[in-house]
Amino acid sequence: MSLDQVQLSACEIASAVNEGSLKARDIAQAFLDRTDDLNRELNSHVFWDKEAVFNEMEKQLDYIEAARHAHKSLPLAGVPIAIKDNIMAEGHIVSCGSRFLQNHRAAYDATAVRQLKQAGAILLGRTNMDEFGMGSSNENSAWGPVRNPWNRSHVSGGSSGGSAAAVAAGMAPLALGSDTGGSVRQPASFCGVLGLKPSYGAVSRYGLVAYASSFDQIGPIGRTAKDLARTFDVIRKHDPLDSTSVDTQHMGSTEAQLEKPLEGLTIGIADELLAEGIDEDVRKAFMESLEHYKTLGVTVKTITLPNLKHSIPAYYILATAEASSNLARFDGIRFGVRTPKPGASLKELYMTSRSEGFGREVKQRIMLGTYVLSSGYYDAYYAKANRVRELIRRDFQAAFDSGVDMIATPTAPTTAFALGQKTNDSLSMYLMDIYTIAANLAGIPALSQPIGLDRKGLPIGLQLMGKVHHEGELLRSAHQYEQSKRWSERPKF
Amino acid sequence: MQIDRQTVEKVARLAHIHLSEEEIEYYQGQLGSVLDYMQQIQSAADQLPAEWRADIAGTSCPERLDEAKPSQIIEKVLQSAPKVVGTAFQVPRIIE
Amino acid sequence: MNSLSDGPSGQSFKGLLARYEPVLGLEVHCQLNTASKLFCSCKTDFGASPNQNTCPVCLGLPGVLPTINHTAVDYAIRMALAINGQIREKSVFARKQYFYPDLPKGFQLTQYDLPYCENGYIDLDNGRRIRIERIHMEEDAGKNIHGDSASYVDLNRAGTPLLEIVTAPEFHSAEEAVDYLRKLRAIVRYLGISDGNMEEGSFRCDVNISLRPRGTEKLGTRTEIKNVNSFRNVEKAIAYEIMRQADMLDSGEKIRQATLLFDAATGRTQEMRSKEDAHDYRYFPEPDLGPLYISSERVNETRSKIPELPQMKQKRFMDEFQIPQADAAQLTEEIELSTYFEEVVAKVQGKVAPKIVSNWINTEYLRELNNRGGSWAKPLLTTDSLAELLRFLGDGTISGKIAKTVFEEMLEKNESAKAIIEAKGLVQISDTGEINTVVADIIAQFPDQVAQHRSGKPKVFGFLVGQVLKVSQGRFNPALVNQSLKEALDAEV
Ligand SMILES: [Mg+2]
Ligand SMILES: [Zn+2]
Repeated sequence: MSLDQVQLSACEIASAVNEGSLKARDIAQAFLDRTDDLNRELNSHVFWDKEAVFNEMEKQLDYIEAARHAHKSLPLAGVPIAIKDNIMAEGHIVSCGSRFLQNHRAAYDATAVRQLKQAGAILLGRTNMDEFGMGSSNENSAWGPVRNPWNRSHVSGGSSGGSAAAVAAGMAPLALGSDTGGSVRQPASFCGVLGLKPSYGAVSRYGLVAYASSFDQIGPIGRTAKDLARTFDVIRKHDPLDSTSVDTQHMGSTEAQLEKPLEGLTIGIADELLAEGIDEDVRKAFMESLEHYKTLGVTVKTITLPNLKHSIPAYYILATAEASSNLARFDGIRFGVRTPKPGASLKELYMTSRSEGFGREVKQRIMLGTYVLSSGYYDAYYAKANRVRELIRRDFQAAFDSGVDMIATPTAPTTAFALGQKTNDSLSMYLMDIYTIAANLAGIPALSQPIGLDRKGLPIGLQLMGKVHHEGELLRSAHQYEQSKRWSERPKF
Repeated sequence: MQIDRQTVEKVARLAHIHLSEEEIEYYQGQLGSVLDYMQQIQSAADQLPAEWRADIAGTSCPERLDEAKPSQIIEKVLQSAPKVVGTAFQVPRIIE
Repeated sequence: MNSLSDGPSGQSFKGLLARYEPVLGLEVHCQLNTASKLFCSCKTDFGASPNQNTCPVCLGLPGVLPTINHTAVDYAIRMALAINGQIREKSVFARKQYFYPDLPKGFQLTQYDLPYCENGYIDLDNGRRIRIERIHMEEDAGKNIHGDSASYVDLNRAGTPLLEIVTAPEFHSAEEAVDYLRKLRAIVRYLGISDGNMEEGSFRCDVNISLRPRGTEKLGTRTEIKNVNSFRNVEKAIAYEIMRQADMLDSGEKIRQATLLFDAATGRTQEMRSKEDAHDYRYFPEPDLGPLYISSERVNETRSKIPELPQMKQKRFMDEFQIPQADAAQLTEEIELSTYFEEVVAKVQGKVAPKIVSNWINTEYLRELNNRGGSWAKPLLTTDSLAELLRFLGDGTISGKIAKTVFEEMLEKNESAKAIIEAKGLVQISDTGEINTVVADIIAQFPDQVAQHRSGKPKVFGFLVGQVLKVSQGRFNPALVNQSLKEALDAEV
């Protein structure tokens, strides 16, 4: 019975709990047990404490029960959701995959978490991630890498690797991730699930530990487009605590638009993005998925995005610049770990706490960001990268103006690579983000959906990028795609 | 692009990160190759005039009403702070 | 205290000024008296025990975001208008990055190359116009408290809104600098945007100072004196620094750019420990806030709410009430004082000249206020009470001397002028018969003085008037006493 329950989608669970045909407690128990089993293999969760999670959910179970008695239907009633370890939930250890925060207990809820709680969701554990979101393989976690549920010797992708793996392995029907340069979409692609990076500003960043403020967005990871749509609708409320938050209520419910036919929509593809460095299986699956979209009434059109080839350098300049500043507050004074070195002077306290607390990649990105902002280099790097960012925005604008509704690429040039394969070569790791980064630079929404397996049995993802605050079209497309070409593969355990 | 040792040390000092000998070498290599790769934006950026500024291109920021709201957070924060005396955070003596 | 004529080498201050021209610029940090902080909703009251007025935002916890205070922006606009500054429609907050325990985020949010206000001015009493290069908004830091073996961080003040007001290097003396500061302080208090309290640190002043040989243009190397906390100390610090630099230049030494602290106890400036790295603040635009947009409608609306400013009011007082500049300047330095004055003038209209009211307030009232440690915000007497007293003076009911006695009694006993005058029988005597009798007595009593008067010593007349008034216990109308005495002495010839 419990295996059946963990196969349920979030929307199915919510209906059953709202109707009273399933008990939220039983559902939570089933997912708890499964997480307890599989976490040992996958390392998808951090600070996993079954008892603590169980105790914490009592209050939320009461809330759900009270709503049911009042005949109030909650959109995520009793739906377990795993939370990436960089999103605040009061009372949780929120470590961001970093040694620095191993004892950091969140003093407040992120706005997205508060909205999930109000919607009846049950927080079910915190998921592993690349330290502070800096990585594309989840190998940069202080708590060890996440293993891919489809093949344990391969990476899960990153930085929301724990969230993607947890959903793929049925440890939760839903998870929250965060996406700065592809951190929701790429692991979703590697793990064979769906992930949405909303338009910049659609979801409040309050309570998301900042990596790169002008790129970061919280996004849902799930197994169906409908689950993503429902979760997205729950968490995209305007938040006065985030000055970059946008009121998108005029969009209406994205879930309600899922069945609207796709006829009349146009997908653009840019040949120059598919020229090199792309795995043959990935290319083939990508082309096939477009063929399938055509059968659903979608037109496919060739476009050009000439500046997208500069995405990666522009991103790594701007994101690391912001990161170097965002991570300055990690100083060992008010929270986190202070160096135990006795008699440290103030300067030593800073230098040593940061040196001991941060991992290798985080230090590298802080230094890179410090370098590009430092006196004499700002104009050559930071200012220019901002201009490239604008050019990329304009490329997208031109494409959308030419009648394209969405732009398709593979989510990543390859499927999940083997653990350890790229850990000593920053650049080749950075190049894995080639397709995902542009959406963060332009602030547009993007979604990754599974479209098949490669010959090694690893999932392949399709990325759809849309116009700002047009998530509805992405979700609706993915929904009708999966309805017509049911994705039934599941990792084996 | 060659990044010299002094540059790595200077940047680490600015960022307040202590580096071991081994790390200095490692980052010298990694930063060098990444910065090398980044050079491609130099000419690309010139498609836009140098006066173009990202910071004023954004949408204007909303303003909050000036109302004081108490926050009861400090007790919780002090509980997991590294070193506290009374309700203040303690640091090594600052020499001016 | 060293007199200003003693330089460290004992040379005369005047002599030195004949050779060198001091060039001074001022930077004032003025705390705005908003209810909440600049970027969070904490109270701006920092008398509380350490860290009581803090929240996740001003503690710089991970995951938080700034939101800007509308009233702080309004206050900033008022200030810009008061100094005739140009307001930028879109200004930008930037991060100024450095590590210090009182700076929780590792950066200060401030405005850098796009401040909201530029190119204002203030006119000095000597007719010189001082250019205000810029005003920008920024957040205050917290406080480091130094103990014997450790330091302690209190963040109650962190995030308090500040205006930083920067002049061009255009002052040439300490007197000019102090005149400017008095005027600036009066403005912020008139505008109601700050209490302008230097001792308590809500109005802090940094002085840039350099010398150049008279007749030359090129600016010398400057030093910066930080945080001087009273007008008097500004004067002393500048004088000391002028002499120190002159001595160095005289002996062929080079001035080194340095940051100095003024020690009020010794009257000397001292170099602060220089940081080992040259400052590289790595400013970049705050990605968590969009540009600050100030519309011309908002500026015009604010303009209509600006009260008459001290310099305008001073001029009006001189014209309208025929009072000298120094008196008008004193009356207008505090807005409450000027309002008080005008109210009293209105209430005694036609009976007492404004000049008399001005004299009374500037001398009697101010002395008592100082003696009692009061402030203008809390008047000693209502304007009604003072007006009543002055009316008795004006219509001759009491003499000026008696009025002073009555004034003191009013403060002591908290009774009205009328009650005191009646109870004590202090009504002025204008009965010439009674006066003539006493005058005759006094002439008889002081034959020597009468003789001296005749031999042409004018001072003796005053003595004789005094004697007559003394007998009357001040109640004789002095004008009538004068007249009677003059007639009597003339008659004796
Ligand atoms: Mg400043
Ligand atoms: Zn606060």
